[in-house]
Order: sequence, then structure tokens, then C-alpha cells
Amino acid sequence: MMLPPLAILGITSWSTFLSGLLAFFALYLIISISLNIEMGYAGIPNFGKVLYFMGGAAFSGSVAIRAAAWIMHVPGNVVGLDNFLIADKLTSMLQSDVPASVALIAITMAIGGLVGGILGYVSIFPAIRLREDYLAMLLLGSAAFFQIFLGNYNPVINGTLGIGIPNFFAWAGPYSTVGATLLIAAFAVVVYVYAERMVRSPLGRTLRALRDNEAAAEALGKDTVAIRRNVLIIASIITGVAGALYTIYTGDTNPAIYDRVTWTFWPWLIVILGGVASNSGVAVGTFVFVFLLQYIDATKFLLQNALPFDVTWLEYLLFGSLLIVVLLLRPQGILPEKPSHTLSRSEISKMIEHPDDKKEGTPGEAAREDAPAR
Amino acid sequence: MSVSLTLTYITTKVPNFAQGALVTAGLYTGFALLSINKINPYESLPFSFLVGGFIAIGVYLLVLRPLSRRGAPIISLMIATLAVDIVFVGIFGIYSDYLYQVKEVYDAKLFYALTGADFTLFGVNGVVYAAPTALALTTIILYVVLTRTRFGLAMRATVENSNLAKVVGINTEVVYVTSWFIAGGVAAIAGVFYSLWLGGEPDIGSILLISMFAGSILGGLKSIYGAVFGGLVVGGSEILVTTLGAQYVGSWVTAYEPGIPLLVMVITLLVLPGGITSLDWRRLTSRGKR
Repeated sequence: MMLPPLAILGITSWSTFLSGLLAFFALYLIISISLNIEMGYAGIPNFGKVLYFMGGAAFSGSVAIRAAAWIMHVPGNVVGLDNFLIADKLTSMLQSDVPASVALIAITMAIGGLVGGILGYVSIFPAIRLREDYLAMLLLGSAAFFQIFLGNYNPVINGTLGIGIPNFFAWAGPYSTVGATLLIAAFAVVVYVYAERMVRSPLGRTLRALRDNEAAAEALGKDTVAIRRNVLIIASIITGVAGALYTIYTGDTNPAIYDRVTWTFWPWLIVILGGVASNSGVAVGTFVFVFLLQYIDATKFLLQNALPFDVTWLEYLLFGSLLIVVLLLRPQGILPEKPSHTLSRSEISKMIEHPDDKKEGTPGEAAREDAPAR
Repeated sequence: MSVSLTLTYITTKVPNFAQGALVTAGLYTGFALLSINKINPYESLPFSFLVGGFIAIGVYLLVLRPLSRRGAPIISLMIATLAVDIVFVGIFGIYSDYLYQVKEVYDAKLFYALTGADFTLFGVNGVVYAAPTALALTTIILYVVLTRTRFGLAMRATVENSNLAKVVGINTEVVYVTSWFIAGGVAAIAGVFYSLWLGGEPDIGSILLISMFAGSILGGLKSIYGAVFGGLVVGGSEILVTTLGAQYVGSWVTAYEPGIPLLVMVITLLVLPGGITSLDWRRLTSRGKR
């Protein structure tokens, strides 16, 4: 067989590489956008991203396989020792049952969002009371503890062993991974469009006002606590669903996967690299990061034999240093936040002169809401 | 450990998420010297102190100072220390793999050797005596330096109001660098003691970080004596609750040991919102100090 072009770069299978690239790009885009909503727009530094992701992933996986076993009437302890046997059996049963598979996918995503939302609701209490640094310590600690909890409390995902869940895309045959990838991508598009629309809405402008000057926003009658609460819950739901999608994609869930480097630090790196409070920047940052990560993953076997240590550690070194360099040299990121678009003075005066042909909203509101550029 | 964290916090006003890395640095220095050069960890303590201290200075000079000079907000500083921590996890990971594969030190990831290297006295491991002694010594030395020397005066002035201190002619940079050095050294020594007792692994720092934060928060993040107290309470309650819990509730309690510092942290923050630095507490501690 002819070598695919660019095999010279060390990539042996381009289809695997590209499909992995798309899946992880979409996944990290979802998480990073939700972090951007919290951190960039609402000013909540969430150092516990992994908490919501982990909650969504673990509980949705746990519920998904139970639900599948219930629908298919498969007996046995589904999260016990014979979990993988049951998961295999369910996969083969679901192969010919598209409606059940789709229903299970929907259930999994819903549970992920629900658990993420609950965890988000719980984190409101510290988030609206504490200063950034205390909040960061608390969320970081909570995430670490939640991981320990999952590792020791067997009924959820069988402790540190983890559980496998049936393949809900088994009906797609050889394209099951593609199906899961497309599902993540579709959700990523939804999240991106939602975030863009939110930023351009009155809520987005309120959030920026709140971030830049909380006292002023309060003085204008904005309920800062309620806004922060809603934003945190929405972002947590999004992250929880991302966790559920990841469980569907990988087909298993295990507390060891949910470390703070992969699911808290990398999203932070992405947001800062791409540009805080800039959704397009975050998209670019996600692409750069995921491309590097996937590329290293795909080619690390080339280096592995030459080095007396695990190449994963080099990733830590590389990306940790990258973040410090970005913070030092380009703290605004690749695509910085843009000042919000307002109507030009001539257009406003034209509208004042002819108040009848209002086409683009009331001029007064557009003029008042111009948030200061950072 | 909490002492060192508080020390960096009061000087730079940033919670140092890389503190765990400094602890790990001490741990690895002690371990490498023991397994390669066959030096007793107690004899290599001063060297571990130096390694931790210089790493801390490096972190401060190369990352935090340039950042805060650019007027970076506190969130950027926090994420930067987190990045430093991750860089160090990478470095220690590489180092432990290197020890394992090249130097053929087969316990490079668990450190049983260190636990075995400890001397025993009255049937108890020596670290049981050494660690409290070291803590007491550190506290006394810090107390003397802070209250009885000119440098201590300069340090306290810098912490209270660095601009005013500069006006009086204090070289605040020297103060910052020194306190980071001390903090790093203390953290490294704490790491050696910890590994002498409980062993360790490359990413032990991130697990200990919660306990350190809990200790410092309980102590009020602004007072070194508070941190000593907080560290004692957190460490003590971890051991106490798990031992008692294992006896009366069941052995499953032990697995949740890391939850205790978190609980301490939550309670502290709930009872005294905005941290224990709130007025009541400060009045209490200052009354004790006078």
C-alpha cells in the first residue's frame, strides 16, 4: 500500500488522526467555551472544571448502563465484576435496536447535564461569597476529593476499576466512532453558537459590566448574585454534558481519567492561549492545543524508544511552559477580546432625526451598552 | 508545609499552587541522594533545603515577578503557579522514570527505601521525633528573625506596605527573594520528612496541596504562627479521625482521609466567610502575640 502523504511527519494513519482530532477538538471546545463563559465573561475563576466533567461522565455512565440493562432485561450486577461482560452483551443487543440506542444516548447526555448542574448549583455557595484565591483553592480541593470519592464508593462506577458502558453507536457498524465524534461535534456547534449569541445579547454585556466593575453594575440595578449563579449553572451543565459525551465516546469511565491536569489545566491553557473573553479566540486556541496534543500522541512512539522516560511527561513540560510564555508575552491571547460593536455616531443621529424607521433596535440601548475595551 | 505556603502568600499575595512541587523537590532530593549516593536523608537535609530554596527563587524571579510587573491580575498569577506545578510534575516524572530505567532504582515511584532508612528510637520511627523538632526549630528561628533582627523588621514592613517600605529605603526585592528561598527550603524539608514517614510518588505534591491550603486557611493565610497551628490541627485531625473512624465506623473511612482537610477548609470558610483573616480572628491572634 502506498504511504499516505505526509507520513514523513510521523503520522501513520491519517483517518485515525483526523477523527481523533475532530473529537477532541469538539470536546475541548465545549469545555473551554464553558470556562470562557465563567472566567472570561462572568469573572468566576473556576479551578475545578474537572469536577463537573467528572461528575457528568461518571454518573451518566453509571446510569446509562443501568438503563440499558433495564430496557434490555439483562440481569446481574451491572457495575460489579461482570460489568464488562454485561456491557459487551448489551452492545451486541443494541446493534439492531436503533431507537433504544438513541434513547440511551439522550438519557446519558441528560444525566450528564443534570449532575453537572447539581454540582454547579452546589458550587454557587462558595463562588458568590469567596474571593478568587479562596475559591480556587476550594474548587481544586473539592475536585480532588470527588475523584477520591469515585475511587472508593463502588456503587457508582465500581471504584478505581471503573466500568465499561455499552457502545450506543453499535448500529452504525464500523462507523460507530465516527457517530460518537459527530455527536460531540454537533453539541460543540450548539454550545459555540449559544455562547456567541449570549455574548452579543444584553446578558453578555451585563456580564462584562459585572466583570469590569461590579459596584457599577450593581448600582445600575443588576442582580449580580443571580447572574453569577445562572452563568455558573449553565456552564456546569455544559461541562457535565461534555463529560457524558466523553463517556459515550470512550465507552468506559474510570476515576483515574479525571485528573486536574487534563480537564482543568488544559482548558485554562486553551482559554488563555486563545484569548480570554473571545469565543473565536478560544476556538483557535482549542485547535492549536488539540492539534499539538494529538500530534504528539500520534507520533510519540517514534520518540519513546530513544528516551529513557515516558513522553507524557514532556507534554506536561511543554504545555506548562507554553502557558507561562503566553502569560508573559501575550497575555491577551491569539485573538483578543474585541470591544463590542456599537452603531456609529452618524447612524445614531440619523435614527434620532428619523425615529420612525427603527431597523436595528433602539439607538439609545446600543449606545449605552458599549462595554469598555480591555 | 503550611508555614511555607503562608510565607509565600504573605509576600506575594498569591496562593502558590506550585508549593506541592517544592515539597516534591525536597522529597526527590532526599531520595536520590539516599539511593544513589547512599547518604542518610537526615544528613542531606541541608542540601534538600538549598534545592527547594533555589527552585523557589527561580519560580519567583522567572515567573511571578515578571508577571506581576506587567500588572497581571491575581487569576493570571494563580494559573501561572499552577502551570509551574505542572511543569514540575513533568520534570519529576521524567526524573523518576530516569532513576527507574537508567539508574535502575526500582522503587523510584514509591520510595520504600526512605521509610526504611529512618532510625528507630524506642520502637518508633525517628521522624516522629525529628519532624516536630524541626517544626519547633523553624518556628522559633522564624520568630526570632522576624521580631529581633533588622532584616525581620524589613520583612514585616515589606509585607505590611511594600511601597512605604521602599520609601524608607528597604530593598524589597531582597526581602521577597529571601522569603521565597526560606519558603522553598522549608517546603523541601517537609517533603523529606513526609517521605520518611509515608513514602511518596511523583505527583504527591498535588495530593498534599489540599492539606497545605487547609492548614494555611485555617491559620489565616497572613500569620506564620497561624499556619503552624493550622498545620497541626489539619495533620492531627487527619490522623485522629481516620484512626478513630477506622476503629468505630469501619476501615472504609481511611480512604476518605484527604476529605478531612477539605472539610476543615469548608468549615473555616463558612464560619468566617472571606477567610479567617476577618477582623475577629485577627484580634484574637494579635492578642496572643502581644
